[in-house]
Amino acid sequence: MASPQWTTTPQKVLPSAATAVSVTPSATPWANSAWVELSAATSAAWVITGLSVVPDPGTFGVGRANVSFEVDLGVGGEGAEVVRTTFRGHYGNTFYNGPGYLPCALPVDNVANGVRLAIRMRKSTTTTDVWKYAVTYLVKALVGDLQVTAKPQKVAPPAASPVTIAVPVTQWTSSAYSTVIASAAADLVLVGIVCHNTYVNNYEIDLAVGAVASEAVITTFRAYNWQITNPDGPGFTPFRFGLNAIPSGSRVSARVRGTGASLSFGLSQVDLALVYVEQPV
Amino acid sequence: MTLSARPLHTWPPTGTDLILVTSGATGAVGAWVEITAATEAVSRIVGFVVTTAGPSDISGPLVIELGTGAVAAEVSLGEYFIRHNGARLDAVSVLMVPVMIGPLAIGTRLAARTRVGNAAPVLLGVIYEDGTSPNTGILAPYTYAPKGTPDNQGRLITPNVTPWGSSAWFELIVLDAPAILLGVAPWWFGSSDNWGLRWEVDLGIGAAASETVITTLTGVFPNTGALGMANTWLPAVYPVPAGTRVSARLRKEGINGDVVPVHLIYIGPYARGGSITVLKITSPPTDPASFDFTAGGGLTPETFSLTHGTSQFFEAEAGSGYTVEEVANALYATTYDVSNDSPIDDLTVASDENVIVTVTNTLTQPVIVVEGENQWRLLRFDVKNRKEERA
Repeated sequence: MASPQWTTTPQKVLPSAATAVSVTPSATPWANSAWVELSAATSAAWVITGLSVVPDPGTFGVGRANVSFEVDLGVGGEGAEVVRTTFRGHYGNTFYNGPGYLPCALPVDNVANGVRLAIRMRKSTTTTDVWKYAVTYLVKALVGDLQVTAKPQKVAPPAASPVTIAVPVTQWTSSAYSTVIASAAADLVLVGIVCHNTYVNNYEIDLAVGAVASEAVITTFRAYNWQITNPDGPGFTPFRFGLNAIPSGSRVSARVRGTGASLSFGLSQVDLALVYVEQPV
Repeated sequence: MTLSARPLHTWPPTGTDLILVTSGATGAVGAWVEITAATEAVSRIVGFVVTTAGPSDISGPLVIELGTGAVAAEVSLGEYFIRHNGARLDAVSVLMVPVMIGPLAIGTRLAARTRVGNAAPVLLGVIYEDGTSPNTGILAPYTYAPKGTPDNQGRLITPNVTPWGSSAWFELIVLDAPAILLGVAPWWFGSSDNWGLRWEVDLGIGAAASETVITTLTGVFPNTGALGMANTWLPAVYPVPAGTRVSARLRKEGINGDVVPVHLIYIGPYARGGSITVLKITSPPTDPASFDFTAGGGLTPETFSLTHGTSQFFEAEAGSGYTVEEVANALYATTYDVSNDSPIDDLTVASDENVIVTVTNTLTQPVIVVEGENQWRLLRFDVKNRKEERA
């Protein structure tokens, strides 16, 4: 039997042993911040493995509620940055919640030697207090057997609030499908899901491909309670064994079902975004 | 990552609540609870959905143990450690494991039992994929270190109180068999001084005072009453041989000096087959040239090409007779460095060994550099006398 993928190449952190890089968000929801330099010139070709996130924690004990955010890593000179990959997450509350790390389920191998590396963000709210970021990476050449990709991570819906799906009141009755991607630009590999919910306990999300009324389920994701949180980052669950099941041109949609709206808390909903990589990886 | 078109499923099946699993007394394991009576297809476990069932919050680490076999005759598949300190309503957890567990044969009965610091009951779902899949799973036991104390708080690392100063090294385990390292789970259970601060943990191998950093992980300390877990995975597993001493050191923001508990999560005993990795280095490193290679002795692919900073990986059975050779290029001097010093035309590989062949090409001929904004055409370049003729 083949071994699981492995590497003995050390993972490194930038900045390391230092406070993370501060980025001031735009006051306009989903507008990009300015680019902030992470490295003036990379020391070698790098494979990006993840992003550490320290959000604006807001008022002590209160935080800032329901923030969806995206982060671009880019290379190139000032004013000429080109996006190399994108991360997405969600904080139900930013008051020091979550372990603050978004891994690349499929590490991103598109940062060359000697290039300037920069970062920018956008989010769903209007606050402008700084967020802080650090990236993790491997220095090429890699030792071991590890699949990487030169393709960037992309998100759906991009630079927009997540798709909201109401959970039916009747227990375990599926909702209607909501479109997440109208038409896939290529064959897609799903590498993660960003979801959160309000006032649901047990629930499931079906992801499907196909036209309206002809949807075919490609996977079912089970979760629980108010918000998903996990060791892999704020609101983001990586599909560590990438789901290679979305053909080019397909409509991607989602539906939910669960234990129903809570009498205590009222109506409930699930908010959803996807993180993917285009084939060929 | 291995790609798969297989859908994910969960036990318990759709339309049913998660499974109640009750731990034993403080720190003790509870009874086995059936997850599925019989798998309907070959299955590989990819993660867990887990939360507290109340009325108590989970306090301290949660260990989920999976087992197969008949009632009262369960055989452990390993202990899946989750650093979990969440409050009852907020402790919402989806943990995707870094290495698939399996395959489980059709008809397998799967059970689980848990233990947690304060014996809190747990609601559990097991996420899996089934059917024919290219994904690799293994059945060697997941486990963690250190173990021992009833509430199992792990290795208590005393931080350096200088911001970002590294702590001393703290031993996590000396492995008595080959293993693959998966990640760490640091936690903060002190005052609020560390909430929201970023941490870094170096994993090191080697004797005391001679530790070598093998990788660095990072994350953020959440508030102690907040959401979830702190397992932080490596980008891919890291294989280590028997006898390896694994240590950790910590650095972080802030000046708080309260101890930080850290666990190592790994799979072992687990011995991989051997392997060979060919690394390409060029001098200068900006040289874009591609170099062709042949491989023999049963290695596949038999031909490949590398540029600076790239590598080629081969799985190889323990043995000898493997060969790697670069196709000669007169513009470069070529040197081979083999990590175990075996000859390049008779490479030897031991079980669980990754032999690294570093092939360095140094440019020995002059490089033609074209500068300036005018367009011109090079008709001839006399390498020996360094004379050029332009048009």
